[in-house]
Amino acid sequence: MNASAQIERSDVISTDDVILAIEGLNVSLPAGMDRDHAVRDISVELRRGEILCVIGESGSGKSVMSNAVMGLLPPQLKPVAGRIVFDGRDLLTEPPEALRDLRGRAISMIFQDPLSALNPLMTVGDQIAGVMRAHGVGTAQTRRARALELVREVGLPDPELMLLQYPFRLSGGQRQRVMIAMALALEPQILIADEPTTALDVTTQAQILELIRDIQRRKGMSVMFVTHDFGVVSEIADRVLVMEKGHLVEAGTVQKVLTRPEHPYTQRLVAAVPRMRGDTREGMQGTPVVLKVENLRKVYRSGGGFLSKERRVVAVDDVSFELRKGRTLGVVGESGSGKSSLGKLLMKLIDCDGGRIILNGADVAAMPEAAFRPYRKTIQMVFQDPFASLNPRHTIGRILTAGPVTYGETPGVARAAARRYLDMVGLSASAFDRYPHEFSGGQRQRIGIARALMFDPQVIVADEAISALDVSIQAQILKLFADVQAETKVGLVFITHDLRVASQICDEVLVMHKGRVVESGPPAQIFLSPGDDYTRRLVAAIPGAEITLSHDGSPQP
Amino acid sequence: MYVLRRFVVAIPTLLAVSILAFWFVDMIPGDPAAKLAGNMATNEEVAAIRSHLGLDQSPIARYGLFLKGVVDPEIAVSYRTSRPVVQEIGERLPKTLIVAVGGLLLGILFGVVTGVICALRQGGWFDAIVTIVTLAGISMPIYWLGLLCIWLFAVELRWLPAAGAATPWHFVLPVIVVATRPAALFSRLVTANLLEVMGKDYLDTARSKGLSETRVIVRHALRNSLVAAVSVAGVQFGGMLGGSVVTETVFGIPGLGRLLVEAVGSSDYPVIQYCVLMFAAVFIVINLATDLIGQWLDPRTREKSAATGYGRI
Repeated sequence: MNASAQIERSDVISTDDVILAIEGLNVSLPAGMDRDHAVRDISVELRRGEILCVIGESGSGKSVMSNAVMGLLPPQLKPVAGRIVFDGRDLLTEPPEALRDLRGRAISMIFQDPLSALNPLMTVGDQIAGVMRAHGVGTAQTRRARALELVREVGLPDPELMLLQYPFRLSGGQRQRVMIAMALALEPQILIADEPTTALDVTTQAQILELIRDIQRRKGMSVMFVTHDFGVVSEIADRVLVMEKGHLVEAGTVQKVLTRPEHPYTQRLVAAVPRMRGDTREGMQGTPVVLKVENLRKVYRSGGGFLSKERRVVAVDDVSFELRKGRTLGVVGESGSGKSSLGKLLMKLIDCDGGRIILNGADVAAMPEAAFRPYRKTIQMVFQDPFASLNPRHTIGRILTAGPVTYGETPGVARAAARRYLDMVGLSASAFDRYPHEFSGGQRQRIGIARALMFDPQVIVADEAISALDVSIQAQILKLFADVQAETKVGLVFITHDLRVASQICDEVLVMHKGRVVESGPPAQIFLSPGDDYTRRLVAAIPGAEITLSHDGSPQP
Repeated sequence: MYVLRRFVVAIPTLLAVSILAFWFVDMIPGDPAAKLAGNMATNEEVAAIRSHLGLDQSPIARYGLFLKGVVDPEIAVSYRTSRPVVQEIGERLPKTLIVAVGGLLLGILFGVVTGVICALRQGGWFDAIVTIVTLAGISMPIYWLGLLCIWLFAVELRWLPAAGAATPWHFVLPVIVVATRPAALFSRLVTANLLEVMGKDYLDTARSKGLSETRVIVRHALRNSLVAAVSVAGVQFGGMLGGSVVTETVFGIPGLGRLLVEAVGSSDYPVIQYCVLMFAAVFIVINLATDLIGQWLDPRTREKSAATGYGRI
């Protein structure tokens, strides 16, 4: 940096430590949205060599802010006031060509979803080298050598081979490492990470956080880390900014914000963070068994056609458990562990390859669809994605009553039941005639639960039913599940990847790994004194162990 | 290995086509021998011709001969001209291919260029004009558009010859007319695919690396949006061979299409049957080619076809 830039910068910013300053940033939203600004009057300073976490729920404007720094805002979002000062220049007024030169060279970014952030048709090597080529750095040979070095640095296996791989062959964690390698290619001063671990498994998340922190320390980079997870914040942050509805509501060191939050919104957020609970839930004891599964097995076969070899993947391997009335069984595991296949088997959405599913005293595992139909009412499902699982063209009333009416209920009785269950899940009866798009994610999941309840089922299978929701909404939906269970005595199979959530709601937990149940028991035993190596690794990888301890497992009032 | 497997799989398909082509043509009412002999011929003459053509043999034996004719040009002989069918086809195929390939290439070029511009300038005047023109291109039948073009460019303006295939200039009008449909289709397809790809996260990744917008569009967006277009190109090419019957009649080009029409008119069964069989073979080769190109463009489908033994058909 030359001297004149130094002087210019010191005119603008008081301390020399600040590498990026956002001053009074306003970004407007197009007309007709629920508010007119995506971010409003945000002033932030990113200091040299620090990790600054920006935390907020969906719609808080945290991603808009980070994208504004990169100049990657979609055209309908316009920065209308404020400055973003980097290296003595206001990024909002710089010409596009100057911004393009900064991107990837001085400021790099990694994105949330490593599955979609890499070009599926280009090799890893080409994509990493692309950063250098875009900035005219090096020759084809030196770029390749540098790409190899980067692939090694981010800990990817078989570096030589890795350069020739296409992204679809890599796991989520490996893809995120490729993204990081790409972002580091030209040794940027600032790394912006937009929810980089949200789409990853808990053990992979721990590794990626470790990698980012390690690289940040070695290179003295400044990192702006956008996340919604306080657990992640407590693992990685030096300082924290809390955003709500486009406003900056609180800023401070990680200790201060996590242990002594001042703003009511921060207090609510911190309180809503799911924590590991060691106590046994006061569930019902000695109730009858409603669902019994014995040696259930599912093998996926592909290929095996003309002149080609068959591939087999054992998704569910010899799984047995019992679920009693009014109790909750948690199924936890990472992606690929077979937990979702198990849920589909229970619902008979896929056929099993062996074992028994005893529902209402009858083995439904091998039943043909016609014979199973009467039993379908007794087992219902709540799906993961509240946006995709409700038909957008049907009214809520139709969504709720369609099932019972096909099973021979009169429309009048079904409508009355729908209103009753809407009330039970905390929605007003006026929801009956409205359409799904008029509701938020949390409200839609309430509708999903009401829909499952319409059949008066004995068992509800909830597959990642809260993982798409913000933490404060998660807490509400978890409470709703508990209330509904207390009232209807329904047995609940709760499939989740989040061990903290499982520890709060479950009476018993199955830990699945590669299709097998590696450990089962009450949450206190599983999470506080795990017997299996894999369970131990899972528990150790849970982010935010510190805040768990500091609060002794009980949510703040 | 994969290509070999695909050819092996194609054999039963071709056999099925050969059976259909042979029996359906055989079922057409009318006696080729009587047609060849003419109105004045006696019954003896017709019988002699029938035995000369082998029409007096059993259907199974004639089907056997038909299959043998695939490899033996001496057997596959036109009733009308007594020349091997392969010669008849060989003389006319190049003219048909010039029109089909030329039309397809021109159509793809026009379609991709306008498609990209429309995707980048959504809602602009260029987009509006292209939408109208492509809609007209998709709706207009080729024989009608062909006649309009002949009237304008050949009769009124006298820029180009109206019919025939004597000089390269004769091919200009047919190629342009044949190109309208793929041009319209590709323009819309590329616009739609590109708009879909434009929302993908990896384009933001590319921008965040500091790539220029042109590079982002060409290297990252366009290539990904062309994958689907390739299979459409294959189907279009096949359709053009079938459409050559109409095109060549309108423009008076002595190509395969015309050969087929003439053969039907004169009950020249071998020409009809072998032409149909050849079209089927060409379709299979086109399908394989589009699958191979698709796999070259999209590595994900390579994995899949290796696992299942088939492409994305």
